[in-house]
Amino acid sequence: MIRQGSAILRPKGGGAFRARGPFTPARLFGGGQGGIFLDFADLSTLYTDLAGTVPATADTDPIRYVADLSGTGNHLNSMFTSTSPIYSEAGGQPGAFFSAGTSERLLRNASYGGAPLGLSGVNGITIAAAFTSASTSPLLRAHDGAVGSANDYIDLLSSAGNGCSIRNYSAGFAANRATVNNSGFSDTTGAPFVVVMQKDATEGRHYRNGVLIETDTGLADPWAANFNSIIDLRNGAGIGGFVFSLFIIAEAIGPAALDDLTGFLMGRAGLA
Amino acid sequence: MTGRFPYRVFIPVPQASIDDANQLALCLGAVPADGQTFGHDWAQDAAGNLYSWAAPVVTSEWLAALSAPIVAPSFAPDADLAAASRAAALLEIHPIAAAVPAAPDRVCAILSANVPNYLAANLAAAGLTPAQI
Repeated sequence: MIRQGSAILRPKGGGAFRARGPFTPARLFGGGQGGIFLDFADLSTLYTDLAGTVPATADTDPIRYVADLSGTGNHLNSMFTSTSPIYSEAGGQPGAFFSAGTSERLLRNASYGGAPLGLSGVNGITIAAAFTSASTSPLLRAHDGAVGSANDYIDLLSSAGNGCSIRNYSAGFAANRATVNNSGFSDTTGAPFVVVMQKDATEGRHYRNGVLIETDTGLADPWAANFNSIIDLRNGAGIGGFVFSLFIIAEAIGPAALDDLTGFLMGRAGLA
Repeated sequence: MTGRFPYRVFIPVPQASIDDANQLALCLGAVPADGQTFGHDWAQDAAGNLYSWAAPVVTSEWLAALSAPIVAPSFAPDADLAAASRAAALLEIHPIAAAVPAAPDRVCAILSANVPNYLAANLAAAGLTPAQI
């Protein structure tokens, strides 16, 4: 029940109102969808050891384990003790700072256990991230784990030439991308921004900072790709940069939820 | 220095010593994967000699542990202690203000503050440029 002043309000039909706190992307996983939600501004999700037992507590602590808030258990580790991003508040917004080493990344694969992403054969995907632009190296790569020409990829980059894509690599970029390269997305100045990619049945959409900048049509439905095995999160091989939050769900979430999600991420990037 | 992990140690390992250095990393590390620390990120000196580098964020205790006897960790009882000892014998650590350039016959590590953009300054201090293998 909710108290307003001295009055006690009750909903029609009895029972109690359900108190609703601020929006969090974790709420969008209520239907049991596959995916992942990482919030690097939330220190309680960060750990300085690979096993996720020693909490990070302060600026510049290494991030060797980050807990997935989606409820699907897709926690990520750094590759080794010596290669990890750090939790940093140096940019004004708290986040994970990845420097330029190619081995400085967070990933999940079979050797670390955990649940698969659950993104096989789905007809909708929403991928969103708040980060600073960095380099030609992918910020995010999720794929099926099979090294070779038959991989399926989700790629998120800030560079010209590739942009954002959800693609079946083996069949060629153009034919199977949910969202093709967008030259307007090229930005390696270090500015923070929010990118959202959606595959909604046969349509692909690409948003930047809440603005729809590209739509594709005629995509395969359901999407047969198998984004199941590896999340590889980095921001290196160039100038390095911040990742504030990352969100992937096996659903083309609706406009209201997308607004909420974008607003959350804009706040994490310091843009709201 | 502030923070619980006040230092970065930039460690450029000459190509010929990578296997030995990985055994040292295993003995100083926390998980079996630490035995694969070197061999991913590369740099080269002016003569074209290759080095694989890692740059762990460390505590003062980690630095002190370097002077302790090398032992096999419980998670890797078959660690090659002879190889780890060879790597340790090559290891020198210098503050970045007095950095010694990388050389093929030694491991000249550089101690600097744990700040986000550490790499460019450390590569320059070691006389190295990034390389792709």
